[in-house]
Amino acid sequence: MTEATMHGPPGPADAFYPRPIELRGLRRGAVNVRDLGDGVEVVVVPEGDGLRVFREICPHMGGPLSQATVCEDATLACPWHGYRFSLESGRLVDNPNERIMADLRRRAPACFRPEHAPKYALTSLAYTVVGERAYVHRRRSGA
Amino acid sequence: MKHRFTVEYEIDCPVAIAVAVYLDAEHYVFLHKKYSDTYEVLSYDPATRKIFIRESWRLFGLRIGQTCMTEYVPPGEFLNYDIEPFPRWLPSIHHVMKTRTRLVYTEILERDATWSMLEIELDLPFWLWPFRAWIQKAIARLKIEKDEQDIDMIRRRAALFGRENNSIYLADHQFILHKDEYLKHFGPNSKPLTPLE
Repeated sequence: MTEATMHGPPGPADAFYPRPIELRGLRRGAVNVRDLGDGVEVVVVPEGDGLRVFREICPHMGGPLSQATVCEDATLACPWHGYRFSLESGRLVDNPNERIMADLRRRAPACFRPEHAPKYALTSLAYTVVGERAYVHRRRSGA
Repeated sequence: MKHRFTVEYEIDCPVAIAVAVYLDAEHYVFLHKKYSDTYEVLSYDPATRKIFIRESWRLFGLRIGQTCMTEYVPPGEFLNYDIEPFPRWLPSIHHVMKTRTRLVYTEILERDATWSMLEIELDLPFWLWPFRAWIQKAIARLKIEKDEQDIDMIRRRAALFGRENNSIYLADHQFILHKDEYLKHFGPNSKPLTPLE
Protein backbone atom coordinates (compact mmCIF):
# COMPACT_ATOMS: atom_id res chain seq x y z
CA MET A 1 0.00 0.00 0.00
CA THR A 2 1.38 3.39 -0.93
CA GLU A 3 1.44 6.38 1.36
CA ALA A 4 -1.12 8.12 -0.86
CA THR A 5 -3.64 5.39 -0.41
CA MET A 6 -2.78 5.20 3.30
CA HIS A 7 -3.52 8.88 3.81
CA GLY A 8 -5.62 9.69 0.78
CA PRO A 9 -6.78 13.13 -0.28
CA PRO A 10 -7.99 15.64 2.32
CA GLY A 11 -11.65 15.32 1.42
CA PRO A 12 -13.96 13.53 -1.03
CA ALA A 13 -11.78 11.74 -3.57
CA ASP A 14 -13.74 13.10 -6.53
CA ALA A 15 -12.98 16.67 -5.44
CA PHE A 16 -9.32 16.15 -6.33
CA TYR A 17 -7.36 14.99 -9.31
CA PRO A 18 -6.23 11.41 -8.85
CA ARG A 19 -2.47 11.99 -8.74
CA PRO A 20 -1.08 14.32 -6.07
CA ILE A 21 2.06 16.39 -6.61
CA GLU A 22 5.07 15.06 -4.73
CA LEU A 23 6.63 18.11 -3.08
CA ARG A 24 10.06 16.55 -2.93
CA GLY A 25 11.96 17.00 -6.13
CA LEU A 26 10.19 20.17 -7.25
CA ARG A 27 12.76 22.58 -8.67
CA ARG A 28 12.56 26.18 -7.51
CA GLY A 29 12.60 28.92 -10.15
CA ALA A 30 11.68 26.43 -12.83
CA VAL A 31 8.68 24.89 -14.49
CA ASN A 32 7.85 21.45 -13.11
CA VAL A 33 5.47 19.47 -15.28
CA ARG A 34 3.15 17.03 -13.53
CA ASP A 35 0.44 14.68 -14.74
CA LEU A 36 -2.54 14.83 -12.38
CA GLY A 37 -4.39 12.00 -14.11
CA ASP A 38 -7.67 12.27 -16.04
CA GLY A 39 -5.68 13.72 -18.94
CA VAL A 40 -4.76 16.88 -17.04
CA GLU A 41 -1.22 18.18 -17.09
CA VAL A 42 -0.12 21.11 -14.97
CA VAL A 43 2.93 23.24 -14.50
CA VAL A 44 4.05 23.70 -10.93
CA VAL A 45 6.25 26.59 -9.87
CA PRO A 46 7.36 26.75 -6.22
CA GLU A 47 7.02 30.37 -5.05
CA GLY A 48 7.79 31.53 -1.52
CA ASP A 49 6.31 28.98 0.88
CA GLY A 50 3.75 27.76 -1.61
CA LEU A 51 3.19 26.54 -5.12
CA ARG A 52 1.67 27.99 -8.24
CA VAL A 53 -0.23 25.32 -10.13
CA PHE A 54 -1.48 26.17 -13.61
CA ARG A 55 -3.02 24.20 -16.46
CA GLU A 56 -0.36 23.47 -19.04
CA ILE A 57 -2.19 25.40 -21.80
CA CYS A 58 -1.45 29.04 -22.61
CA PRO A 59 -4.74 30.98 -22.71
CA HIS A 60 -3.56 32.98 -25.72
CA MET A 61 -3.05 30.34 -28.40
CA GLY A 62 -2.78 27.10 -26.48
CA GLY A 63 1.01 27.05 -26.23
CA PRO A 64 2.76 24.38 -24.16
CA LEU A 65 3.54 25.94 -20.80
CA SER A 66 5.58 22.83 -20.01
CA GLN A 67 8.20 24.58 -22.18
CA ALA A 68 7.64 28.00 -20.59
CA THR A 69 10.38 29.95 -18.85
CA VAL A 70 10.21 31.28 -15.32
CA CYS A 71 11.53 34.85 -15.56
CA GLU A 72 13.28 36.89 -12.89
CA ASP A 73 10.31 39.26 -12.61
CA ALA A 74 8.14 36.39 -11.33
CA THR A 75 6.43 35.83 -14.64
CA LEU A 76 5.98 32.80 -16.83
CA ALA A 77 6.88 33.33 -20.52
CA CYS A 78 5.05 31.23 -23.11
CA PRO A 79 7.45 29.62 -25.61
CA TRP A 80 5.26 30.35 -28.65
CA HIS A 81 4.69 34.12 -28.52
CA GLY A 82 6.60 35.23 -25.44
CA TYR A 83 3.48 36.43 -23.60
CA ARG A 84 4.29 36.86 -19.92
CA PHE A 85 1.92 35.91 -17.14
CA SER A 86 2.22 36.87 -13.50
CA LEU A 87 2.99 33.92 -11.26
CA GLU A 88 1.10 35.70 -8.50
CA SER A 89 -2.18 36.40 -10.30
CA GLY A 90 -1.87 34.28 -13.45
CA ARG A 91 -2.80 37.34 -15.50
CA LEU A 92 -1.09 38.50 -18.70
CA VAL A 93 1.24 41.32 -17.70
CA ASP A 94 3.36 41.80 -20.81
CA ASN A 95 3.22 41.08 -24.52
CA PRO A 96 6.77 41.83 -25.73
CA ASN A 97 5.52 41.96 -29.31
CA GLU A 98 3.91 45.29 -28.54
CA ARG A 99 7.47 46.65 -28.56
CA ILE A 100 8.97 44.38 -31.23
CA MET A 101 6.15 45.12 -33.67
CA ALA A 102 5.47 48.69 -32.49
CA ASP A 103 5.79 50.29 -35.91
CA LEU A 104 3.75 47.63 -37.68
CA ARG A 105 1.06 47.71 -34.99
CA ARG A 106 0.82 51.49 -35.21
CA ARG A 107 0.32 51.32 -38.96
CA ALA A 108 -1.81 48.18 -39.00
CA PRO A 109 -5.16 48.22 -40.81
CA ALA A 110 -8.31 49.21 -38.96
CA CYS A 111 -9.26 45.57 -38.43
CA PHE A 112 -6.56 45.33 -35.74
CA ARG A 113 -8.08 46.68 -32.51
CA PRO A 114 -5.77 45.95 -29.58
CA GLU A 115 -8.11 47.75 -27.21
CA HIS A 116 -10.46 44.78 -27.59
CA ALA A 117 -7.93 42.36 -26.12
CA PRO A 118 -9.35 39.86 -23.64
CA LYS A 119 -7.87 39.69 -20.17
CA TYR A 120 -5.81 36.55 -20.70
CA ALA A 121 -5.10 34.61 -17.51
CA LEU A 122 -3.60 31.23 -16.79
CA THR A 123 -5.94 28.65 -15.34
CA SER A 124 -4.81 28.46 -11.73
CA LEU A 125 -5.65 25.41 -9.64
CA ALA A 126 -6.01 25.26 -5.85
CA TYR A 127 -4.36 22.56 -3.82
CA THR A 128 -4.15 21.23 -0.30
CA VAL A 129 -0.92 19.92 1.16
CA VAL A 130 -0.99 16.71 3.17
CA GLY A 131 2.45 15.62 4.36
CA GLU A 132 4.77 15.61 1.37
CA ARG A 133 2.02 15.78 -1.24
CA ALA A 134 -0.15 18.49 -2.71
CA TYR A 135 -3.63 17.37 -3.73
CA VAL A 136 -4.97 19.51 -6.54
CA HIS A 137 -8.64 20.52 -6.41
CA ARG A 138 -10.73 20.04 -9.50
CA ARG A 139 -12.21 23.50 -9.03
CA ARG A 140 -10.15 26.51 -10.06
CA SER A 141 -8.48 28.71 -7.48
CA GLY A 142 -9.51 32.32 -7.05
CA ALA A 143 -6.31 33.60 -8.69
CA MET B 1 25.39 31.46 -62.46
CA LYS B 2 21.86 30.64 -61.34
CA HIS B 3 20.95 27.55 -59.40
CA ARG B 4 17.23 26.94 -58.85
CA PHE B 5 15.59 24.30 -56.72
CA THR B 6 12.37 23.69 -54.80
CA VAL B 7 11.57 22.32 -51.36
CA GLU B 8 8.01 21.02 -51.31
CA TYR B 9 5.79 18.88 -49.14
CA GLU B 10 2.33 18.63 -47.66
CA ILE B 11 1.41 20.37 -44.43
CA ASP B 12 -1.48 18.73 -42.64
CA CYS B 13 -3.66 21.79 -42.08
CA PRO B 14 -6.04 23.99 -44.08
CA VAL B 15 -4.42 26.77 -46.13
CA ALA B 16 -6.13 29.35 -43.88
CA ILE B 17 -4.13 28.03 -40.95
CA ALA B 18 -0.82 27.72 -42.83
CA VAL B 19 -1.08 31.31 -44.07
CA ALA B 20 -2.11 32.59 -40.64
CA VAL B 21 0.89 30.94 -39.01
CA TYR B 22 3.20 32.56 -41.57
CA LEU B 23 1.63 35.99 -41.00
CA ASP B 24 1.65 35.55 -37.22
CA ALA B 25 4.91 37.45 -36.78
CA GLU B 26 4.55 37.46 -33.00
CA HIS B 27 5.92 33.92 -32.83
CA TYR B 28 9.03 34.45 -34.99
CA VAL B 29 11.57 35.25 -32.27
CA PHE B 30 9.99 33.04 -29.62
CA LEU B 31 9.09 29.74 -31.27
CA HIS B 32 12.02 30.11 -33.69
CA LYS B 33 14.45 31.73 -31.24
CA LYS B 34 16.99 28.97 -31.98
CA TYR B 35 17.52 30.63 -35.36
CA SER B 36 17.01 34.31 -34.60
CA ASP B 37 16.16 36.04 -31.34
CA THR B 38 15.65 39.57 -32.68
CA TYR B 39 13.25 40.78 -35.35
CA GLU B 40 13.25 44.44 -36.33
CA VAL B 41 11.11 46.25 -38.85
CA LEU B 42 13.26 48.70 -40.82
CA SER B 43 10.57 49.88 -43.21
CA TYR B 44 7.00 49.03 -44.09
CA ASP B 45 4.90 49.90 -47.09
CA PRO B 46 1.29 48.79 -46.58
CA ALA B 47 0.37 49.57 -50.20
CA THR B 48 2.80 47.02 -51.63
CA ARG B 49 2.74 44.73 -48.58
CA LYS B 50 6.53 44.97 -48.40
CA ILE B 51 8.30 44.85 -45.07
CA PHE B 52 12.05 45.34 -44.87
CA ILE B 53 13.29 43.45 -41.83
CA ARG B 54 16.43 42.68 -39.89
CA GLU B 55 16.77 39.33 -38.13
CA SER B 56 19.75 38.90 -35.86
CA TRP B 57 21.27 36.69 -33.20
CA ARG B 58 24.27 36.72 -30.86
CA LEU B 59 27.47 34.93 -31.79
CA PHE B 60 30.66 35.23 -29.72
CA GLY B 61 29.37 38.43 -28.14
CA LEU B 62 28.53 40.03 -31.48
CA ARG B 63 25.06 40.67 -32.83
CA ILE B 64 24.99 39.41 -36.38
CA GLY B 65 22.26 38.63 -38.85
CA GLN B 66 20.75 39.70 -42.11
CA THR B 67 18.37 42.19 -43.62
CA CYS B 68 15.73 41.06 -46.06
CA MET B 69 12.81 42.41 -48.06
CA THR B 70 9.66 40.41 -47.46
CA GLU B 71 6.53 40.68 -49.56
CA TYR B 72 3.11 39.12 -49.22
CA VAL B 73 1.15 38.34 -52.36
CA PRO B 74 -2.34 37.33 -51.23
CA PRO B 75 -3.72 34.88 -50.64
CA GLY B 76 -0.88 32.39 -50.20
CA GLU B 77 2.40 33.63 -51.65
CA PHE B 78 5.42 35.04 -49.83
CA LEU B 79 8.57 36.48 -51.37
CA ASN B 80 11.95 37.11 -49.77
CA TYR B 81 14.76 38.94 -51.59
CA ASP B 82 17.48 41.59 -51.26
CA ILE B 83 19.13 39.61 -48.49
CA GLU B 84 22.20 41.39 -47.11
CA PRO B 85 24.46 40.59 -44.15
CA PHE B 86 24.22 42.60 -40.97
CA PRO B 87 26.43 44.34 -40.12
CA ARG B 88 27.49 45.09 -43.68
CA TRP B 89 31.17 44.46 -42.94
CA LEU B 90 30.41 40.95 -41.78
CA PRO B 91 32.10 38.33 -43.95
CA SER B 92 29.07 36.52 -45.35
CA ILE B 93 28.04 34.42 -48.29
CA HIS B 94 25.33 37.03 -48.96
CA HIS B 95 28.01 39.43 -50.23
CA VAL B 96 28.62 37.19 -53.20
CA MET B 97 25.46 35.11 -53.50
CA LYS B 98 22.07 36.65 -54.23
CA THR B 99 19.12 34.68 -52.89
CA ARG B 100 15.49 34.99 -53.85
CA THR B 101 12.74 32.79 -52.49
CA ARG B 102 9.08 32.33 -53.36
CA LEU B 103 6.89 30.31 -51.01
CA VAL B 104 3.47 29.29 -52.29
CA TYR B 105 0.74 27.62 -50.25
CA THR B 106 -1.97 25.90 -52.26
CA GLU B 107 -4.96 23.92 -51.12
CA ILE B 108 -5.15 20.13 -51.39
CA LEU B 109 -8.92 19.90 -51.70
CA GLU B 110 -9.43 16.20 -51.05
CA ARG B 111 -7.65 16.35 -47.67
CA ASP B 112 -8.24 20.01 -46.77
CA ALA B 113 -4.48 20.25 -46.44
CA THR B 114 -1.76 22.57 -47.75
CA TRP B 115 0.89 22.00 -50.39
CA SER B 116 3.94 24.06 -49.46
CA MET B 117 6.29 24.84 -52.32
CA LEU B 118 9.39 26.93 -51.74
CA GLU B 119 11.22 27.98 -54.89
CA ILE B 120 14.76 29.16 -54.33
CA GLU B 121 16.98 30.93 -56.80
CA LEU B 122 20.66 31.33 -55.97
CA ASP B 123 22.81 33.62 -58.06
CA LEU B 124 26.30 32.25 -57.44
CA PRO B 125 29.78 33.29 -58.50
CA PHE B 126 31.58 30.59 -60.50
CA TRP B 127 33.79 29.63 -57.58
CA LEU B 128 30.78 28.82 -55.40
CA TRP B 129 29.13 26.75 -58.15
CA PRO B 130 30.77 23.47 -57.03
CA PHE B 131 29.24 24.00 -53.58
CA ARG B 132 25.67 24.52 -54.79
CA ALA B 133 24.47 21.08 -53.64
CA TRP B 134 25.83 21.72 -50.16
CA ILE B 135 24.20 25.17 -50.00
CA GLN B 136 20.94 23.70 -51.27
CA LYS B 137 21.02 21.03 -48.58
CA ALA B 138 21.67 23.61 -45.84
CA ILE B 139 18.80 25.86 -47.00
CA ALA B 140 16.40 22.90 -47.29
CA ARG B 141 17.34 21.66 -43.83
CA LEU B 142 16.73 25.10 -42.29
CA LYS B 143 13.35 25.38 -44.02
CA ILE B 144 12.26 21.92 -42.86
CA GLU B 145 13.42 22.48 -39.26
CA LYS B 146 11.50 25.75 -38.93
CA ASP B 147 8.43 24.24 -40.56
CA GLU B 148 8.58 21.33 -38.11
CA GLN B 149 8.34 23.79 -35.24
CA ASP B 150 5.34 25.45 -36.90
CA ILE B 151 3.75 22.07 -37.61
CA ASP B 152 4.07 21.08 -33.93
CA MET B 153 2.26 24.31 -33.06
CA ILE B 154 -0.43 23.67 -35.71
CA ARG B 155 -0.98 20.10 -34.46
CA ARG B 156 -1.31 21.14 -30.84
CA ARG B 157 -3.74 23.93 -31.70
CA ALA B 158 -5.78 21.56 -33.89
CA ALA B 159 -6.04 19.09 -31.00
CA LEU B 160 -7.10 21.82 -28.56
CA PHE B 161 -9.33 24.05 -30.67
CA GLY B 162 -10.17 22.17 -33.85
CA ARG B 163 -8.38 21.72 -37.15
CA GLU B 164 -10.02 24.61 -39.00
CA ASN B 165 -10.21 27.02 -36.11
CA ASN B 166 -8.46 30.24 -37.12
CA SER B 167 -10.60 32.47 -34.90
CA ILE B 168 -7.70 33.73 -32.81
CA TYR B 169 -6.02 35.08 -35.95
CA LEU B 170 -9.25 36.80 -36.96
CA ALA B 171 -9.92 38.29 -33.54
CA ASP B 172 -9.91 42.10 -33.40
CA HIS B 173 -7.12 42.24 -30.84
CA GLN B 174 -4.75 39.75 -32.48
CA PHE B 175 -1.93 41.26 -34.49
CA ILE B 176 -0.86 39.47 -37.66
CA LEU B 177 0.90 40.89 -40.69
CA HIS B 178 -1.33 42.18 -43.50
CA LYS B 179 -4.41 41.34 -41.48
CA ASP B 180 -6.83 43.15 -43.80
CA GLU B 181 -5.74 40.91 -46.69
CA TYR B 182 -5.93 37.80 -44.52
CA LEU B 183 -9.48 38.67 -43.46
CA LYS B 184 -10.42 39.26 -47.07
CA HIS B 185 -9.37 35.76 -48.07
CA PHE B 186 -9.76 33.59 -44.97
CA GLY B 187 -12.29 35.02 -42.56
CA PRO B 188 -14.57 35.09 -40.78
CA ASN B 189 -15.65 31.45 -40.76
CA SER B 190 -14.15 30.03 -37.62
CA LYS B 191 -15.52 28.22 -34.62
CA PRO B 192 -15.36 29.60 -31.07
CA LEU B 193 -11.93 29.24 -29.54
CA THR B 194 -12.88 26.79 -26.84
CA PRO B 195 -10.44 24.07 -25.84
CA LEU B 196 -11.79 20.54 -26.10
CA GLU B 197 -11.82 19.00 -22.61
